[in-house]
Amino acid sequence: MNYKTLKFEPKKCIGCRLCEQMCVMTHFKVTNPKKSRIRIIRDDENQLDSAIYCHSCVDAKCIEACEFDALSRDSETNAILVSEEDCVGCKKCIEECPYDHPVMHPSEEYILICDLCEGNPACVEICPENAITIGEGN
Amino acid sequence: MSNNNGTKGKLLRINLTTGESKEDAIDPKLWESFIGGRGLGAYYLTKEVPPDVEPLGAENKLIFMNGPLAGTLIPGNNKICVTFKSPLTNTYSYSLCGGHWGPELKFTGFDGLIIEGKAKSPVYITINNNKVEIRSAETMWGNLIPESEKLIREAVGGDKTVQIALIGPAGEKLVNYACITAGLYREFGRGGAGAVMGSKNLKGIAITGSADVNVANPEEVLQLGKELIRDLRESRGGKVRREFGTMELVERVNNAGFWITRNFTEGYFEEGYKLEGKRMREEIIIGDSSCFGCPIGCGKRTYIITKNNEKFLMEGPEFETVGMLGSNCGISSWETLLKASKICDTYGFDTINAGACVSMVMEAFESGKLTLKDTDGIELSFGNDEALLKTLEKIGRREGLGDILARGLVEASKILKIEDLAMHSKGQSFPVYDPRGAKGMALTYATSPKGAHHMLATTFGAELSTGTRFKIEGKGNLERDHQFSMAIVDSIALCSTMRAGISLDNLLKAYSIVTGIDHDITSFLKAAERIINLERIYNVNLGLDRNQDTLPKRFLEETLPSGESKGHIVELDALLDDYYNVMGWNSKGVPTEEKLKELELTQYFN
Repeated sequence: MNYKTLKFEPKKCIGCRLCEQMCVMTHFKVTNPKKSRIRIIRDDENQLDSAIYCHSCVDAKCIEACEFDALSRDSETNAILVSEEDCVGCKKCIEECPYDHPVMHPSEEYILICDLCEGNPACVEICPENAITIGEGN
Repeated sequence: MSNNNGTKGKLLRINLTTGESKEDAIDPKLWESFIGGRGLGAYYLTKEVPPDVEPLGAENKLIFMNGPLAGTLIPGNNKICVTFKSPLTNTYSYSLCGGHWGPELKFTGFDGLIIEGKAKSPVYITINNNKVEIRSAETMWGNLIPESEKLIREAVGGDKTVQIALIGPAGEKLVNYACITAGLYREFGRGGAGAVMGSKNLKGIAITGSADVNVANPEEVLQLGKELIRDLRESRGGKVRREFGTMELVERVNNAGFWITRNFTEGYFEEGYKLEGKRMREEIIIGDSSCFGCPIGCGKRTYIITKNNEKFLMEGPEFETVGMLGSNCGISSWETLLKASKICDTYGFDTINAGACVSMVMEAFESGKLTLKDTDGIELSFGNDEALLKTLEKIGRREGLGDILARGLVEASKILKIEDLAMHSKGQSFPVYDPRGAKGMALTYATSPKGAHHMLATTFGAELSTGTRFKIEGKGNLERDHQFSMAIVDSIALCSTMRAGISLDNLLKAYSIVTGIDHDITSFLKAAERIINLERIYNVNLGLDRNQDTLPKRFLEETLPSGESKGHIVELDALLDDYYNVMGWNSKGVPTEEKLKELELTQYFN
C-alpha cells in the first residue's frame, strides 16, 4: 500500500530548526523546541544535522504497544493520532518506536506524535532547503 | 513590557563563590530604555561592576543577555550578548555569539544569566529550567574544547539537545583573548570573555529548557516570520552569504586594496585570489550550516585531505580568520588555514588577536628585531605555514613565545620591545579592514568601547557603494548612524547578517507583534544613543578619553604602498572632531552634561 509520509535528507539540512519552531507555533501558538514533533540534532564532529520524526510506519509499533487505545491511524492522512484524554504518558510507545520519535509533552501527561498537520505539514512548508518533504511511502 | 510576550521578565543569577543561585525580576522599563541584549548588558555591567574591578578578579561578572525576539519565529534571533570588563583591554567589553545556546537559555524561562564570584576549584554549571547545579569539573579541566564538550555532555546524560557553552585550555590558562565557545563552532570571540570564565574556575554551562516563549500576536508572528524567511532567502545579500558565507568579502576588500596584509603593512594580498569565496566553494565546501532560526546558512562545512593523507572536516574558517591568519601572515593554503583555525577553535582563543600577535612577531623576525633565540627556534617569516601553526599551539599551551603572545598585543609587544609593530586600539587587535582604505572604519576602531572592533559600525560597505571611502567629510554622521543601527541590532540581538533581508520597518513590526509594544524608530534610536553613551561613560569613568581613541602610527603616518588604496593614511584628528561633535560630546570625547541629562544617564557618570 502507498501512503504519505515525511522524508528527510540529512545532507540538505542546515540545522536551522525552523521546522521545530513552525511545528510548535502551528500546534501551540508558542515556541518551545521541547514541544516539537520533529527534532533536529546537530553532530558538530561529523558536520551533519539529522532529524527525529515520525515515519508513519505501516506496521506501527506505537499503536500496537499502547494499552490505552490512545493512538489511532488517520485514514485520510495516514498520520498517527494521539488522544490526549486517553494517553496516560506510560511511554510504551517511545520504547517501541524504532525511530525514537514520540516525545512526552514537557508539562502535560500525554505523548506528542507527528499528526502530519492534516496532510500539509508545517515543517515541510517552512524548510528552506527542502530537506524535509512529504511523499509516497511504502 | 508585559513579562509574557517575547521577554520572560527575569534573569538567573549564579554566584560561584557562595554556590547560590536566584531569580531576579527585570524591571519592565529597562526593555524600553535599553532594548535587550547588548543594551541590557551595558545597564547591568555599569550598575554592578565598578570600573576599578580587576577583570580577572572575583568581582568581575559575565552578563549574558538575550534580546526580546530570542526564541521566536522571527528569523536570526539567535545572538546572545555577554558583557564584562575585559582583561585584554581593561575596558568595557561585550561580545555576541550565534548558534543555539542563547535561544536555549530563553527556553529555560530566563532572558539572561549573570555569573558572579569565583569557584574554589574547577566547576561546570547545569541549568534545567529553573534547576541549577554546580558540579565539579576537576576531571575535565585541561581538555581541548571538543573533548570537554563530550565530557560535559556525557555527564548530563548524553542528551544531544542540551546546549553547552565552555572554555578550552586557553580560557583556563587565562589567555587574554580566550573565547567562550558555544557548540563547537560559535564563539563569544572578542575581548577575553573566556579568560574571565577561566578566572572564575568555570569550565562550562550546559543548558536545557522547556519553557514556552509567548508572543503578543501569534498569527501575525507566524505570517511575518514566513515572509521574512522568504525575503532573506531571496535577497541578494542572503544568496551571496549562503553561497560563500562571510568569505564573499575577500574579493571585494582585497580588490579595493584594504585587506590587511603582512601585519598591516599592505592592503592587497597578491595571493588573495586563491582565498576568494568562489574558490572556497569549489575547493573545500561540502555543506552549509545555520544558527537557530536562520534560513541563510552562512556557516560553511569544509573538508580536505591533507598532505599527510589525513581527512580534515570542520566548519569554517570565516572571513576574519582567513584574513588574520592568512593574508596578514602571508599565507594562502587552505590546509594551513583550516588547521590554524582549528587550533584556535580547540584551545578556545580569538583568531583575530592571535593572527595579529603572530603577524607582529613575523614582522619583527623578518626585520631582525627578533631572532631564533626569541622565537623558540621557529623561523617566523611571513608565509611560513608551519611557523604559524607551531606558534598558535604555543599560545594555546602558553609555552615559550606563546606565553608572551597570550598576554595580548600590548603586553607582548612591551616584553619583546616591538611596540611599534603591535596593531591594536585600546589593546584589541584590528580585524581585517585596513582603515586607510575606508576612513569610516578608522572612527569605528578608534571610538569602539571594546577596542578595535569592526562590528561596532561596518561603514565600509556604504563607503564602497557611494564611492566615498577616502573622504573625511560626512564620516561623523555616517559613523553615528551605523553605530546606532548596530546598537539596535545587537540589543534586539539579531544576527547582523539579517540586515540583508529584514528592513528596519519589518524589524519594528516584528518587535511590536512579538512584545505587544509599539517602539517607533525615534525611541529605538534614542535607546541606541543611550546604550552607546552608557558604554562610553563606563570607559570615561575609568579615565579614558580622546587620548585612548587612537590608532597605531602605521595607520596615521605610513601610506599604503600598493593596490587600490595606495597612498592613503588616516586623518584621525579631523575624523574624531567631526564624530564627537555629531555625538554631542566635548572635544575630549566625553559626553556633555546636557547629553547625559537628555538620555537620563547622569547618575552613571562618576
